[in-house]
Amino acid sequence: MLHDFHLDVRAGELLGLLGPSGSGKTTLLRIIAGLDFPDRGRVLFGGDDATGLPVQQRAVGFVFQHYALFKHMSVADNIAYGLNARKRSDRPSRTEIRRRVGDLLDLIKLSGFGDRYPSQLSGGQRQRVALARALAVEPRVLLLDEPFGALDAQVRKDLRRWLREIHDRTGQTTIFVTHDQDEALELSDRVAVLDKGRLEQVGTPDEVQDSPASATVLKFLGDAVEVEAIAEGGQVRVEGRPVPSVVAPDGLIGPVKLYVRPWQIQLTEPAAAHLHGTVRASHRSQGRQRIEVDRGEGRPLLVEDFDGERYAAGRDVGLRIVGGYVFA
Amino acid sequence: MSEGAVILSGPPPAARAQSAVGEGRAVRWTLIAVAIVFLALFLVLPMLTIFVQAFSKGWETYLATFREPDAIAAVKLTLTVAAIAVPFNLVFGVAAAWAIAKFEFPGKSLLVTLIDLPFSVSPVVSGLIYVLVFGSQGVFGGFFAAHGIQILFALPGIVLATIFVTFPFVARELIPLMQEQGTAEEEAALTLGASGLWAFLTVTLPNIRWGLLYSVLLCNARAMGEFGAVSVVSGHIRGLTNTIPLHVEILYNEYNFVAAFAVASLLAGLALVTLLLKSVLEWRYAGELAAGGRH
Repeated sequence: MLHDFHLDVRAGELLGLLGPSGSGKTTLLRIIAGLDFPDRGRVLFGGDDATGLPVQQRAVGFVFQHYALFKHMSVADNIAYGLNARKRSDRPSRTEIRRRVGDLLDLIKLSGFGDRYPSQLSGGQRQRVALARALAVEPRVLLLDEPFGALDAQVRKDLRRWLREIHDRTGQTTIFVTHDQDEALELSDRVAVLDKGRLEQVGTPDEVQDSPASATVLKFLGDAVEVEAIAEGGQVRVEGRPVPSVVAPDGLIGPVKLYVRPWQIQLTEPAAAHLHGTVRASHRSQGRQRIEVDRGEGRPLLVEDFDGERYAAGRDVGLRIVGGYVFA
Repeated sequence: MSEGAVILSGPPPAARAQSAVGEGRAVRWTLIAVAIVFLALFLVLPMLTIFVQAFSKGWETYLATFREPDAIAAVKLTLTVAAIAVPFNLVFGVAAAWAIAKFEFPGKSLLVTLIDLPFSVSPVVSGLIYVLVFGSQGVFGGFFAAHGIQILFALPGIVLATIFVTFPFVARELIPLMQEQGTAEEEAALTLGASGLWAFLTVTLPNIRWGLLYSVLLCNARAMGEFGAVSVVSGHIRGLTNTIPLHVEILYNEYNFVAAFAVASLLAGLALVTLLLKSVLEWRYAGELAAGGRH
């Protein structure tokens, strides 16, 4: 279910469609591809109306989450499928097809794998073949539906970087769908955040992170703590103390919700703190520590800090808020 | 090694003779013996009897049975019926399975139930249906009679009855198989520019080929062996409307046991070949056959 919105994809860009499951991002991708059809609204390719065009004539490359490789065909035949499916008059010669398949195998770093079958490849290799198959028809736009969703964490990261390289080299206009914030922020030129069928925000990874358009975008892009605050004269105060570097929107006065990232809270001496609490638990990962602080009511606050001083459970701490976001 | 460490030694648990769900030796062998005795008595022995009886008067008599014009006619008729009914059900089965597995439409569950109907109806009733529809007193009886087309007691009636009875085989095998395979590969083919027909020929069909062969095999065995429904619509005209099973019955009723068993050995042989091919398919292509579609 999608609501009305307008989304411009620029030629040559790598656009990430980011949203939780059920947000409509895959539906949007399938509508662009011509695999699903909208009740109303239009799909334009560089000014040409493609809304009524069947999928075969849209010249899109589609990569599916579970690869959807043709099991009974060799890797080379999979890649050549789109070329072989063309009418005789449009079909490149056999040698030309073989040459293109060879080039694409080089591109996906699987030269020599042309005679293998999909079942003989790993997940990451299969997805690379699926990408080559989609690129073989020289699509106007490449559409990837959760392309790394079925792969394990390490392969995901490698393939992510590799996809970025391929994009930089080919300049292929690409739209990919993901529910993984890190993936969208690392890979995309611009990110479109969808929620419940609405387009919440479109912007570069920096823009959506620095100035999220709504609490929904903010919460979806990472952990955030909600703190009761008061807006007054452009300032935001928590428990009477102003929060540095947070500016309240014009005309916003009275109680507001302040959204704070875990790294925008510091553990300090109780005297200088906005809030107080007791350490419930802490754990370390990759040079950082995450500390859960109980405030006696509500959910515990999550604080992220460099891996320095240890905070044992039960210790009383003060919390100083050094940043955050308020929405009108 | 520190105290309290878990030390693994001896055979791994899986290698032990008695697993958690296993029974004692005696129980196990008793169960196996019961199964074997049962199979021998009710399946292998009757099968052997057919061949023993068929050859009881020697090769010459056996072969002479098949030089009878009526026997030749029965074999020809059976082959003709199968040659029409099986391809028809192949096409229908693929079309129905395709529609049910890949599309959503109103009345879908009703269609699935209807496909199973021939399995739940007695074959005699299936035959009677056609008598009621195409008989001289039937719904269409007058129409066909007026145009000089004979349906009942002729090839068309036998073919119709056979098609009805063997209707479900292909569709039932393919529906779960195609549902399991989903539509992603077809969609991939379409995005790559393939037409619907090309996608079907190059992607769908190769994906279901073994399941299709498997179901055609079973469909064919049933089409050639069907007795009840065909018996009702055939009229038992010797040399004209007798299929192999009907011919066996006639020979048997005339106390011509050797000939009856000789002809029956054809059907038994067909059953054995079908069973063998079916096993080969199941063993070789287990992954490409629908797990839920076994009959």
